[in-house]
Amino acid sequence: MSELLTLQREFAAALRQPERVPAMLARLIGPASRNADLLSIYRANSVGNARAALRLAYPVCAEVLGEECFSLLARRYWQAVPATEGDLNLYGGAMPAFIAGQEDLVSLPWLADLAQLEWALHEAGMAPDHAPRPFVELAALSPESLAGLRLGFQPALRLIPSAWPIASLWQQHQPAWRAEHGEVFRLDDCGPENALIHRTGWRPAVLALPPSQARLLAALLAGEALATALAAASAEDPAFQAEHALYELFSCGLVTALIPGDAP
Amino acid sequence: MSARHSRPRVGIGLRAPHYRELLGTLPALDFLEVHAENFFHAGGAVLAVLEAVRAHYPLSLHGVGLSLGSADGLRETHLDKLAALVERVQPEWVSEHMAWAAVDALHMADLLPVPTTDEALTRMAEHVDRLQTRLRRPILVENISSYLRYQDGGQGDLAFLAGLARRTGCGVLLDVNNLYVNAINHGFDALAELHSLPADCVGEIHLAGHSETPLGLIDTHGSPVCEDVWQLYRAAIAHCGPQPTLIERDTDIPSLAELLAEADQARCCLGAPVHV
Repeated sequence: MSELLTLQREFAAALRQPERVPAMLARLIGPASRNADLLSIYRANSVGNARAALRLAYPVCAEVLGEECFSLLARRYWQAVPATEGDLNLYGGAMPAFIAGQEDLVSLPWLADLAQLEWALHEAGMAPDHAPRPFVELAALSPESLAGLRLGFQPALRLIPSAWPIASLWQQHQPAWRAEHGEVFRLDDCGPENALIHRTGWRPAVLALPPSQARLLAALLAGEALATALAAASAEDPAFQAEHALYELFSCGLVTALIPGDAP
Repeated sequence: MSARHSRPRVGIGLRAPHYRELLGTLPALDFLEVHAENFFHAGGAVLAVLEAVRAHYPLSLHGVGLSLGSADGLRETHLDKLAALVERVQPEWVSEHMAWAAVDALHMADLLPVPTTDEALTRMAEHVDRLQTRLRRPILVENISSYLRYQDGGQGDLAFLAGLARRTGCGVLLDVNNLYVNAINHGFDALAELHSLPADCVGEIHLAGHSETPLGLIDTHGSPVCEDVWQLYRAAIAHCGPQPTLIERDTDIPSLAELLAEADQARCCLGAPVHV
């Protein structure tokens, strides 16, 4: 058995489990009580670096919860879901599910969905760059080609349906909203929202999609042909305007590929 | 590892609060150093900033999470991402630490001390060899601040790094602040330790600040370089020559102007003309 491996396992265990501290202290030179304090510096660094990564990924959740509560949540998360790799930008993906399981957060039932939105936004900022296709490419196609067409989308795109107005909630925590409206939340008349996370150029962005538009996008993301996807959206809302909805997808720069195929 | 450039070179760590000002003003600096892990993404704004910066400055890519000192091998995903970034931005230097962070499936997100044992040296040498082979270039390995001392291993960190350099051909990134912090905390003679490092293996020098606490000095990278560290830096230059020098600040990040003033101070120590 490698001595170095034993040492590193004991060190890691001592940082995460108080009952494992004495075994580690026995490997160190100097007074045990002082070494226990010094070991705490490493524990604080590990927790602090995890917290900083989480704060970067979840700024609105952190603002909603406040400094103390978010730090406590981060500490619990660090204990329950340790980092598994050195790229801390990837740390925190399990936070939405973790929040959903926290009994003392039940008074904020929308927080898990908001966290899901923020994680998608965090990932969008790091997603591969893409080149949007212009609407004229679609407009130039014959009706037969259009019916069987499939669309490819930018890698940053995520569609998050929620029973809560998470897109509006997120937006009202942004500095631009604050500058215009102050810290006034107008969520009373917002119902469930479908949050669309995407990137415009370098900037990760959030939109709330109407249900029919969300249905269209979900069908296209699932690889359905355009005719099938448009039918699904019309079924959702008889007033659905196909051309307008498609134009919106292109004008937001979401579409990166037009893939010919057989009509359904 | 002696400098290819006759003119002494001074740089600063590039941190997010300075992106805009730095690209807008392009201050006279000889290189910029970035933490490799901040640029591991597939795309996005941060990578675009790095591409813009490297059009104006040579880059030093400083890894903080590869865990060269892990007993159970290098993490392949991390190695792949680092290699891809090196390929993409073609830095002038690549560096990592004499430290470990990963064991089994855990990554501790910190630089933890490696015992100066033969086994640790063998493992680190294997990992440095692999990294250098993969990157097709020599790397620099930095001494860290450590608050604890293991019973295993008796030699100093710099002697350990000298052994690593001998075995692998890597260079040493001498962090003068870390040397100072360890000397004060563990009560050894920093100058004697400095001289245990062969002069020709140093390829870069780091300067940073630390905090004084009741438990000793803590390496926070959150304050200006202190006078004692400047003094030790002058001794380091006398020992290993005017190596490329970095002003490093990771917390309580000051104005760009303040960092540039510290960079000028380093330039004075190196005997180089200060840019005006």
